[in-house]
Amino acid sequence: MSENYNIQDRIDEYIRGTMSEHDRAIFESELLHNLDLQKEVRVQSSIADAVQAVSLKRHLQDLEAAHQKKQRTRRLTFRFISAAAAVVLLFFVGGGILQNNYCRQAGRVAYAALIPEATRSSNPVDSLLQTSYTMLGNGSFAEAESLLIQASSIAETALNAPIVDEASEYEHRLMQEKKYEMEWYTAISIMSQGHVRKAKRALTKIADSGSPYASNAEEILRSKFYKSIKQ
Amino acid sequence: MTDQEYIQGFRNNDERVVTSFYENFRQLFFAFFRSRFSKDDAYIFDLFQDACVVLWQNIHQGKLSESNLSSSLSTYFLSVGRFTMMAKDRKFKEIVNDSEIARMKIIDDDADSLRERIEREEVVLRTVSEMKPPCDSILKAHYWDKLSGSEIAAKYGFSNADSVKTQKSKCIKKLRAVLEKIIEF
Repeated sequence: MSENYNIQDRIDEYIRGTMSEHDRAIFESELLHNLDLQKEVRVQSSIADAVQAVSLKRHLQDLEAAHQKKQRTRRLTFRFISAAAAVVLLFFVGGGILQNNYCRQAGRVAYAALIPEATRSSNPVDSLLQTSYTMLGNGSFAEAESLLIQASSIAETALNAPIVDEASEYEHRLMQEKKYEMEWYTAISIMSQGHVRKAKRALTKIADSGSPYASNAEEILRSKFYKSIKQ
Repeated sequence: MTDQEYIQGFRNNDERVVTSFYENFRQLFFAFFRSRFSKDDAYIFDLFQDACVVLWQNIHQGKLSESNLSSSLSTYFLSVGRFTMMAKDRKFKEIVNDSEIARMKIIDDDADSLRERIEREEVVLRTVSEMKPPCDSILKAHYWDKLSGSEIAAKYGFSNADSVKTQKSKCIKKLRAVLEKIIEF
């Protein structure tokens, strides 16, 4: 042991556990008889332990802070995704509800604008059209559409019949007009039920045909609600 | 990492081992104190830190070693957590009468000396944690990181190891003066 090896260095080595076994035995035997040295070691050991405890705690606090930050990021990401999902859902559902309402309203307006023929003949097509008109007014849309399908089937058969003379040509033209009327009634029924896409398909077909209701169909299709709908 | 490797890592103040310990034991510790004692997370983290300090002390004092661990480290650590919780509540008699804490040999004091020791440690810990630079860095580097005087000099910009030694002595002197006003050594 060097003579310059001062007491503070020895206390340090003893506390840090870096003293050789031999030096440690000598130091501990000195400790037994030296009360001042005992106190010095006690004070410095307390400080050394506290410094290490504080360092350990600070390291754990850093780890916990990083953990909390990660958790917060996870929570924020989750909240952001939830909010974004809610916005998207609201956009589609909300947009859907608006379109749906507009569609129903358009159906009601179109129905109110119908001018039913004052007199209809008693032929099956006229009879079916008359009944379906009444049913549309009652809100019995499924029944009305069923009758319109029957009427359409009769009309198709008649339209497929060959035109042989002037009378048959007139009958043919008359049936075509009734067919247009059936299509318009059907579109009104679909709109009144709020079936937006189905209504758009029916209206597009009417708008592209020579139907007297083509301009009405186009007008509804020009609305911003319908423009945004894909087929 | 095995229980023995954790003990060895704590003995060497190895921060990578402490990090691994935190990552592996935090969830268990929090779940235990949440479910058994209905404590909130801020309180449980305080407890977790204190329990780590007691674990570290017991390893450094030789009360816990790789060879005398009588249960799994997680069981031991949860008992240390219960001990620190009771110490926070000043239930020293309950601590010394707790059969599990006695079986694990977490403490070897009677109720009075335990109270005295814990209160003394709290004072020293509080005083040390309030240290200002450069004392906090130098003492941490010296005791926790176990750096040599020249390494500390290079890290914190001192001219040489002797300057570090002088500064460290001043820091200890200052701390000692504060502490001796509050407690008797």
